Amino acid sequence: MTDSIFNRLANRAIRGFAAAALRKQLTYDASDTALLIVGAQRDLLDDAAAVSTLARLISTARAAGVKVIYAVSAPPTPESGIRFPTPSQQALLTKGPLGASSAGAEFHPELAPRPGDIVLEPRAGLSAFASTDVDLRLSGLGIARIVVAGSRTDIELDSTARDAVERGFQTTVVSDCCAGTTRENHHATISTTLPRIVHGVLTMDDFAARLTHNS
Amino acid sequence: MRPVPPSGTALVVIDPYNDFTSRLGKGWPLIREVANDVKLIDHLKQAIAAARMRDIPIVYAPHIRYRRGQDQSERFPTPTQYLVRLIPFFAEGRRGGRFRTDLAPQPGDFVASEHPISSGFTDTNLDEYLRSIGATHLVMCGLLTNTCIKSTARAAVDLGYKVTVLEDAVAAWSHTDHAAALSGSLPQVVHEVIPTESFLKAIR
Repeated sequence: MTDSIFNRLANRAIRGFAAAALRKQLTYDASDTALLIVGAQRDLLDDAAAVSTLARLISTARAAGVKVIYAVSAPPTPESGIRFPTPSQQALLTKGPLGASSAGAEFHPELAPRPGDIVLEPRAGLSAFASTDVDLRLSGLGIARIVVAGSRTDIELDSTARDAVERGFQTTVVSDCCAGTTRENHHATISTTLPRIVHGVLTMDDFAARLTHNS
Repeated sequence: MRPVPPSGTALVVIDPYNDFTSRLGKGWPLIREVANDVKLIDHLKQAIAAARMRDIPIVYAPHIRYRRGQDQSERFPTPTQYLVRLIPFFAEGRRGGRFRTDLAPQPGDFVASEHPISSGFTDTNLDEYLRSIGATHLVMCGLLTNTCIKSTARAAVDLGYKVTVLEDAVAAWSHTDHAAALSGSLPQVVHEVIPTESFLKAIR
């Protein structure tokens, strides 16, 4: 099914208008911004370009004084309390990645946390905000803006970005620091779905240009 | 309170406002393209009627209505919130802010409190009510596929529900938005994406 020309033009105009009106608010003061990295694990983030861009994003954020938070994905084991695993959760079980002893569950070495970063409890839920300790870890940090990157764009990242918006955070997704289950699903999520949901979808360079260092 | 069928199923109907679903609705000129193709209104009516006949609880999850003079401005509005207020959509007391008559709640249905963003669960009594009636399996329909349906479905999964989305009883601003949500991520992150006909058969 294709959209009519009227539909395409109207949607483009409306989206462009709203994005232009709100673009001013896409500035990032390191003092109230957190970088939330979702599933930066070997088996999940399997796009070399995204890994190296994300490594640059992390070092840029650290240098500016942005709080760096890691959300860790885990398979839905019986202990995780998930009674009805979805196909995306089931896939983590049946294919075997992310198992406790598997190297695939580890962080990419170039993306690994450093002292001072926050690493959330591993969770099988779709959203990073399903981590049991997220409220405890975020409270008192004075975070108003959350910048999301990692994997998988169409699964955990989409849910995490939505939850960040629902919780009142100004939410930005860094498009070239993410990887999805497929290229098509990554692209559809980044260019079609998320711009309707979050405050901004920016490239790494665009984000870095809008970031103010913590003085 | 109505008895819950042993299956624990509830039908969750999201935002069937006139602004989205009726010919004079503000969103209809764009939404109608997908809505007409999937036969949205017919399928919504069928799903609601069948659930009612089978005593499956029907639960409405409404988006927040626009109220003039009430400051609803967030510190950071999203593009969607910005547009909803600008136009405005779902104005309280106006036609657009009422449910379409033939999709409206009837006595015995539950209408949850209004959700401020996209998920029917945020700042509402939806989860509390569903748990109170023992619902474990939510069948979702309504609008829009890529925003409120998807946010509510994803949140429901993380709250521990089994989730079914009726693929031809949902619609979006464009086929592009609709397909990106329906054929891309939804089948992976919910338990079932099925046509309304399959739901009708399953509860017959």
